[in-house]
Amino acid sequence: MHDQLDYFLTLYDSYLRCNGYLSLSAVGALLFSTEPSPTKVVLRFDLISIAELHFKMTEHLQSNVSQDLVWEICRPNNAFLVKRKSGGGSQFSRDPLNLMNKHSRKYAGFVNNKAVGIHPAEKGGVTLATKKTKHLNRPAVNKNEVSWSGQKSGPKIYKGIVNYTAKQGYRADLRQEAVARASAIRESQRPKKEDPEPKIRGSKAKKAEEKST
Amino acid sequence: MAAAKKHIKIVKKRTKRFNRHQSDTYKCVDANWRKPKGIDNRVRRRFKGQAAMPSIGYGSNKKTRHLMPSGHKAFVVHNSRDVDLLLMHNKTFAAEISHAVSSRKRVDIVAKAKQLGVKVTNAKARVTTES
Repeated sequence: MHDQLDYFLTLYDSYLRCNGYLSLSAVGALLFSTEPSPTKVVLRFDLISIAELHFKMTEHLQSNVSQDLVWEICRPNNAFLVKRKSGGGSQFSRDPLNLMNKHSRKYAGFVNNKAVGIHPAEKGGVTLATKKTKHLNRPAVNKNEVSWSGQKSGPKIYKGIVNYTAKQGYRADLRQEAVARASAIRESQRPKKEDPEPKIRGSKAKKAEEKST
Repeated sequence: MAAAKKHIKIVKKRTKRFNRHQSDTYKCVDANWRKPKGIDNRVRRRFKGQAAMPSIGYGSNKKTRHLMPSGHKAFVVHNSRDVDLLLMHNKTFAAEISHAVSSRKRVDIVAKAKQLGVKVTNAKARVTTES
C-alpha cells in the first residue's frame, strides 16, 4: 500500500514537471513503462484510482482558471441565463447560487469561488447553500448546506444566515441580499388571502337585481 | 401583488404615430415611417406646416422608459419556473404570460405569481370563462 502511494506521488511529481502536457492515456503508458516498479503493482491501479489520479492532476490546473476569465467567457451565453426582449430587454439567471437571479458578475454563483444561495425548504423553512473553496471543479461535492425549519422566527433565521456567511468574512458584500431573499422566500411561503369576489356591475347587476326581487 | 417602486411621472411626449409623407395621398404609399430623401422634399427640410419627423427628442425619460402605467416592466414568462426569477424583482418587473400557454398551465403560473407577490399583466386571459 505504501509503495503504491509513493508511486502515485512520483507520478504526480513527474506530471507536474512536464508542465501538464500529459493526458490520461499518457499516464497509463507511464504506469507501465516506469522501470523500478514491478508490473503487478501497476496492475493493481484500478480504474477508480486512475480517475482519481487524473482528477488530482487536473484539479490544480482548472482552479487556476481565473474567475474573471470564466465570467468573460460565460457572460454572453450560459445555461443559467434567461434573456428577454420585453421591457427593454432583461437578463436573469437561474443559477441556484445566485441570490438576486440577476445575470451579473457579483451574483454569478458558477463564476465566483465563494457564492451564496438561498432556497425554500420543506414546511416553510429556508435552506442556505454556500460554495466550499476546495474542489472547485466538482460542483456536487463543494456545496455546503444548512437549513432552518419554518418554526424558527424570521430574525433568528436571518441572524443564522449572516453568522454563516458575512460574519465569517464569507461574501460580506452579499449580506443584505441574503437576508432580503430569505425574507422574500418566507413571505412567499405564507398562505395568501383569497381574492375577493368581483362585484357585478352595469346591466348584469340590474338583471341580477330583477331576478332576486 | 407588490406595488411598483415609486417613480417619477411617466410622460409620453407624443402618442400619435408618425405617418410616412404622402401616405395620405397615395394608397400605394404605406403609412409606415420612411424618412424622405428627396432633394426638394419639404418634410425633410422641415417647412412650416409639414408633418413632423421622428427624432431622438421624442424619446422617453430613461427612468420611465419601458414602464407600464403601473410602474412595472414586463417580463414574458412561459412557465412557473420563469416566475421564480422575479422573486427579488416583484417591484420592478411584472410577469406577462406568453400567448401560446394553455389555460391549464396559466392557472399554475398565476398561482405561483400570487405566492411570490408578482403581478401578472394578463392573469385573466384564457382562464376566466363566461358563466
